[in-house]
Amino acid sequence: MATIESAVRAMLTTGTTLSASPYSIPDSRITHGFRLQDTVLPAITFECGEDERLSIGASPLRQVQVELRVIADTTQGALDILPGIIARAIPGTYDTYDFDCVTVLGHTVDGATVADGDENQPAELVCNIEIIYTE
Amino acid sequence: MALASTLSSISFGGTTIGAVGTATVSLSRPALDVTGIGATNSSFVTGVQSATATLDIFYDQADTTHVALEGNINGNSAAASTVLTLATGMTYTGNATVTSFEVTAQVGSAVRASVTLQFTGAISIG
Repeated sequence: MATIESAVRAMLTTGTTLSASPYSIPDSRITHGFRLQDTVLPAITFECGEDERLSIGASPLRQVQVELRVIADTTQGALDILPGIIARAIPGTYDTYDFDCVTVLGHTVDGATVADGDENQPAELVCNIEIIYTE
Repeated sequence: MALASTLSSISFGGTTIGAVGTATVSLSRPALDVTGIGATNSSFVTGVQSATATLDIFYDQADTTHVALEGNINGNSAAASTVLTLATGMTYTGNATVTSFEVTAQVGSAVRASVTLQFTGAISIG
């Protein structure tokens, strides 16, 4: 059964925009919610916020805000993925859901922390996207 | 008993309009002041009723129902049957023309249009 989460993942993995060079993030590294700590970077995780109804009627327009996280070894490495995400954030039909309007709202970057052991932390770019869609 | 807006719709010219965020029908009958000179209290009689409908829609020129609404004002077309359905059997029905159609494109937001319809003649409720 299609869900907004599966549709968002389908949008990101459609074609080879993100999996091919220069981004080189295979579909298996685009996951909902979290990634395993020992997996290869860069990787993308995403979460969908509250699903809101925008219009009246039995088949309403819906709106959801998606928070994408790009995890990479370096700040520049995370920033380099951003154009690929913007290129994939486009209207279309994904997993039976019609994305009518996809808006990239903005992004922030949390730089990598170089330290010993567990204190070592990769860079994390957070990109917020608003999607208006119908089921 | 409350009604869910998932049961609601508005049609113009027999066609249900798509992607309507808000639909409002407003009935008004102004009070006419007939207070006489020297009176200590105001007196009013009821005036003539009029009605308007306003819509906030997620505008898309690929949606033929939006084009039909816009065409009514742009083509100076005649009034068309307009029905706001709240739920089955709960309706406001009349003939209306589109008197304003305002499209707004704003950064970080979906394109919207604000539409005003002026009813002519009687409004049937229910």
